[in-house]
Amino acid sequence: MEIYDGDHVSRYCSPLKVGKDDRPLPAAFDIGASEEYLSVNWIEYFKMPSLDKGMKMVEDKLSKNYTIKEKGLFAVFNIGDAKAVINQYSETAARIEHIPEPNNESHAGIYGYTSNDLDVTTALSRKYMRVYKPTVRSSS
Amino acid sequence: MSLQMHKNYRTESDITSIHPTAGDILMRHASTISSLQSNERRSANSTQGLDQAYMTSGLIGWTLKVMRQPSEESPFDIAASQWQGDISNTKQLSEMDLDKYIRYWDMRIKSADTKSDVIGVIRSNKLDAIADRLDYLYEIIREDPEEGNILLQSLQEFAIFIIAKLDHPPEPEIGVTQTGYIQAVWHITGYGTLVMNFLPSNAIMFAIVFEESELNTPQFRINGVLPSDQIIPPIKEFIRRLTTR
Repeated sequence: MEIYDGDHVSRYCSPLKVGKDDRPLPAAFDIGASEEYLSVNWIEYFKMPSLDKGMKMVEDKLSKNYTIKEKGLFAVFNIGDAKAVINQYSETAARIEHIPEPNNESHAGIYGYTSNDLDVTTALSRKYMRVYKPTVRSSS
Repeated sequence: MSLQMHKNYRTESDITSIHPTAGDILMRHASTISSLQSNERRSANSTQGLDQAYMTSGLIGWTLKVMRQPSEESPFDIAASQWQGDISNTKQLSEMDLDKYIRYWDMRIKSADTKSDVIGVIRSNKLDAIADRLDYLYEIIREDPEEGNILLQSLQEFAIFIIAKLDHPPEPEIGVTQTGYIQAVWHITGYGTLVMNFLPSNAIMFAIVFEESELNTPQFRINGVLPSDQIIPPIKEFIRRLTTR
């Protein structure tokens, strides 16, 4: 199911993909050569009253099955804006679909670019809406 | 050289009037750029309401994309002949002494066969902030190997580039790609962002994304993969701006 343009998605960026300036690097938005989409989480899936509370829910759920590092961060995108950025640079029309997984029900995928589109990942690294610092302390 | 043109392009003055800086770079160096590979392919098409022109070559090559919003009164034309240059010009990018200097550091860094040795060479060149950042990235990997890895050859290529080819540039943001390549990012506010992934095969994947000067202006960017011993003029120009700020 394609997600509404007014909603938001977040991408967890590991510490190796976060700059000293606490901004995500283009590498945070790499799509693997064998992958079709960039994995993200649909924040409004949890129907929380605010983006912050939605992000807290995303982080809590993700941290049950994945390692979230304090030195990492989440880059938050408005879906319409993210699609506009990709469409500006890519020849393939961008779309963001909800792809629920057993242990990650808010999981979604950003389609519209490939592992070779360094200009797209560069633009995404400059044009996110905000960053959200993880609060989970289970790991450094 | 096979050449496909689905759309004609206009003149140097047109492209520079659309984006003075990028246009100037592109046109001044078009002949050098076009000479880098002999198997270049050129095409232009219109997709999703955007006019695009891009030039590509094979795996080791480059892509030049120029995009703009569609405009009925100002078709974006450059004569195809303007993109064809003399391949002998590429040698002018590196002089004999620079070649020797780069070869020295290439040998010196490639003989450093551990990450600590390579970082040591970087530190001995007074690039401490970069060395500290690399130590930090390796510390993250040491704490949790599932985070990823850094390929030694990529680290070596990066070290050769910043020591010999860039001659001590401003500190970039440094990270690691999914594939274990060092990624360096330089941003100039109001101008653009240069990103380089250092591939282990003596090649650099790069992108320059120029900033929008105003709403609805064309988005210029250049990306591709180049042999690491070739630095195309738009990258040189970006670096010049970095070092003269």
